[in-house]
Amino acid sequence: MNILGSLDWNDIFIVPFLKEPTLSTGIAAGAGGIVVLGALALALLLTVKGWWKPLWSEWITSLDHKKIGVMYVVLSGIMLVRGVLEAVVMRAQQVSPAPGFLSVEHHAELFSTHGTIMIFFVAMPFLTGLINVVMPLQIGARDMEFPFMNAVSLWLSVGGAALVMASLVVGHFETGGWTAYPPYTGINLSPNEGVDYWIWSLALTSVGSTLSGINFAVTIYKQRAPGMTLMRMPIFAWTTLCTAILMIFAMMPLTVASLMLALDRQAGFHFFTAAQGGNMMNFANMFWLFGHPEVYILILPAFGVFSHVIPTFSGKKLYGYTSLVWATIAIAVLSFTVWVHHFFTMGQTTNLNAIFGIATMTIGVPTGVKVYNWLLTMYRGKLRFSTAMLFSAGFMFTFVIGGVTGVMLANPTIDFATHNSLFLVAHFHNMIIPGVLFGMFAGVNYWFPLCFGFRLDETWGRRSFWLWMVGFYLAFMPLYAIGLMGAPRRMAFFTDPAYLPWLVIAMFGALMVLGGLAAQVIQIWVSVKNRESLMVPAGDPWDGRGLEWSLGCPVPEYDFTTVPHITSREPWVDAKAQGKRVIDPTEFVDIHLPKSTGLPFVTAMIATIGAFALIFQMWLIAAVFFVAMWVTVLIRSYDTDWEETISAEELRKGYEAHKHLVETTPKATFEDEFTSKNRGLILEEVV
Amino acid sequence: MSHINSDLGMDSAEYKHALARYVWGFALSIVLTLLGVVLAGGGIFSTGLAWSIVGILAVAQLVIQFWAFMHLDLSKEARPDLYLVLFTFLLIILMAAGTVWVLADLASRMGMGGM
Repeated sequence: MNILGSLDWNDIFIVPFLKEPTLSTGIAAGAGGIVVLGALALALLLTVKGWWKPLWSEWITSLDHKKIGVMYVVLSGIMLVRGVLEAVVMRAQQVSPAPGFLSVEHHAELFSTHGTIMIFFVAMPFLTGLINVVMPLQIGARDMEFPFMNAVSLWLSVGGAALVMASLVVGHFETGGWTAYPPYTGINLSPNEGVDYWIWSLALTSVGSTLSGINFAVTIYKQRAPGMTLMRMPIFAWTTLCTAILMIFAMMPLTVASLMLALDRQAGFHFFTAAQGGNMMNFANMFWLFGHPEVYILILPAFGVFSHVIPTFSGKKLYGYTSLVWATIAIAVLSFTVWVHHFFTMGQTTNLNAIFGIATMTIGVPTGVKVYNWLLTMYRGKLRFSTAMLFSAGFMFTFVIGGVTGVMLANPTIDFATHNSLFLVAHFHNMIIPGVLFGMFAGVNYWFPLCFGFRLDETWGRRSFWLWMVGFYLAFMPLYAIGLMGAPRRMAFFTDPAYLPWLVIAMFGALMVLGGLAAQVIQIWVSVKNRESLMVPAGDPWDGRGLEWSLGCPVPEYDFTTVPHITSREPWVDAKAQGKRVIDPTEFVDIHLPKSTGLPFVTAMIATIGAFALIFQMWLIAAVFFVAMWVTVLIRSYDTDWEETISAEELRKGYEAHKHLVETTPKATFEDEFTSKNRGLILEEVV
Repeated sequence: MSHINSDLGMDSAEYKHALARYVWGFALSIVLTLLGVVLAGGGIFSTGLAWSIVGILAVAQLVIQFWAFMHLDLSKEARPDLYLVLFTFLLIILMAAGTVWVLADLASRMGMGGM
C-alpha cells in the first residue's frame, strides 16, 4: 500500500498546464499560483513586520469571544474574495463565444466551489463571527459559556476552508454542484478526490458549526445578566438563539449524509446506490433536511442586525418587539417543515408536494410581519442614512422581490416549469445576497467600533453599498428573464443568441459587485489609515439602544466592569434618558477569564491534516492524526491551570477611567455623526 | 469559578429529596424495562398488542428518566428546559416522520413495494 494514497504528481496544480497548456488549465494553474504566492506573500509580510509573535499570542491563542469573532469575519472575507472572483470568471465564460475558454469540467468545478464556499465558508463564518462579537455584549455576559470550544469551532472552520483552498493547489474539487447529489458523486461517476474534498471540508466545518450552535444556545440560556428575562433580550440575541437551535439540529443531517456518502465511496457501502437496496433519493431528502433550515440559520442573524440598525438610525424604538420575537420563533419551527420544496420534481405524489408548497407559502407570513415591523419602525422616524442603514434599506427593498419570486416557486406547478433554470438561481441569490451579505455588511459597519475603537469610513462604505446594490440588480435580474426563457443552470455555455444580451448585462453586474468588494477593502484600508480621526473612545457613536453600546470602544477584554442588573427591555436607553453616561456599577468582584491557549488551533490543524489524508486515501496517516487529535483533547482535559484572575480593583479602575473619559468627551450633534467631531456617546439633538 | 464547598451538605433535606428522585428514577426504569422483557418473551398478548404496550412502556420510561435524571418537571424553574426538550422532540419527529413519509411516497410511485 502506498503511504501517500492516491496522491501523485499530476495532482499538483501546475502539472496539467505544463502537459497540456490551454486557457482552461492556465486559469486553474493561475488560481493555484495565486493561493501559493498569496500564502508566501503573507508569510513574508509577517516575517518582515515581525508579526508572527503577536499573531500567535494575541490572536491565534486567544479565547476572547470578540477576537474569535473578528477572526471568523476575516476568514469569511478571504473566502468571499475567492467566491466573487469565481462568479466573475463564470460570467465571463458564458459571454465568450461557445464553447468558451473553460473546459466543461473546469466550469463545473467553479460552480461547485462557488456554492460550497459562499454557503459554508462565507455566510456561516460571517454570521458566526458577528454573533461571537455582539451577542455576549448584548446579554451582559463576559464570554461564551465554553470559550475553549468556541476556539475549536473557529479553527475547525478555518481547517475546512483551508482544504477548499488546497483543492486549487493539489488535485481537483468535485463537479456535482454544492449539493453533490449521488449517483453522480458516487465512486463510479466521480472516481477522483473531488467529492472527498467536499465531504471532508464540510465534515470539519459542520462539526464546528454544531459546536458553535451549542455554545450560543447555552450562553443565552445560562449567561444572561440578572433581570434579563427572555422577553427582555435584544432581538439579535433572539435571532441568535433560534439560529443556534437550528444549527444544533440542522447540521446533523448534513454531517450524516456526507459521511454516508463517504462510506459509499470508500468502504463499499450502498446507502445511495441503486444496487443492493440503496436509495439515492434519500440523499436529496437528508441534504435538504439540513439545507432548508440552513437558509434560516443564514438569514435570522441578519434579521437581528436589521432590528438594531433600523431603530438606531431612525431614532425610534423598534416597532412590535413581541411580534418580531414570535415571528422569529415561527420561522425557526416552520423552517423544518418545507424541505421538500427543494425537490418537488423528484417524483413524489401531488398531494405531498401540495402540502409542502402550502407550508412554504406559510413561512412567508412571519417574514412579512418582520418587514412591516421594520417599515413601521422607520415610519415618522428621523432617518440618518449611514452605510449600515443604507444596506438595511437596500435589503428590505430587494429581499421583498426575492420573497415574491420565492412564493411563486413554492407553487409546485410553477416549480416544475422553472426547476433547474436560471430563474431559480436568480431567486436564491436574490434572497441570500441581501438577506445575508447586506445584513452582515450592515452589522460590520454598525458594530465595528466595538472591536477596534474606530468607525469605518463612511464615504467608501456608501460607495461600496451602491456598487453592491446596483451590481446585484444588473447581475441577477437578467437571470430571471433568461430563466423564464428556458436557460438551465450550471451550463458551461449557451448556444441560443437570445440569451447573450442578458448575459452581457449580468457580466457587467458581476464586475460591479467585484467593484463593491474592492470598495470595501479600500474602506477598511482608509479607515485604518485615518483611525485617529475616526476614534470613538467613549463608545456608542450612533446613539445606540443596546447594552453593547454602554461600553467604551474598543470593548475591554473583560467586557463589563460589573454585571448590570436589567430592569427593562432597553436599559441603556433608559439610562441615557436619565442623563447618565454610564450604567451604574453594581458590585466589583474578582473575575476569572480563561487563559490563552494554542491547543484549539493545534487540535483543529491536526484534524485538518487528518482530513486531507482521508481525501487522498492515506489511511495510515489519517489514523495517526485521528489519534493525535484526541490526545490533544486529553491534554486539555488534564489541564487544571486554565484561568487567570482580573481583580476587582482593576475593574474599578477600568470603570473610573471609562467614566472620566465619557464625562470629558465634548458633546456633538447628529449633524456631526459621521465627522471627526463624533468621539462617541454624546450625540444630541440640535435644539 | 466558585470553589467547591468542603461541606457537601449530605444531611440537608434538599440533598435527601434529590437523592430520592434518583433512586425512584432508577427503580422505575428497572421495573419498566423488566415489564417490557416479560411482555416480549412471555407470549401473553398477541404480537401487535405486545408491540404497542412495549412502546408505551418505552415512552413512560423516557418521561421518567427526564424527570428523575434531567430534573425536568412542570415547575416554573424547569420551564425553559422543558420547552427545549419538547421542541427537540418536535424536530426529531418532523425529520424522522417526514423522511419516512417522503421515501414511502416515492417508493409507492416506483412500484418498489414497502420501503
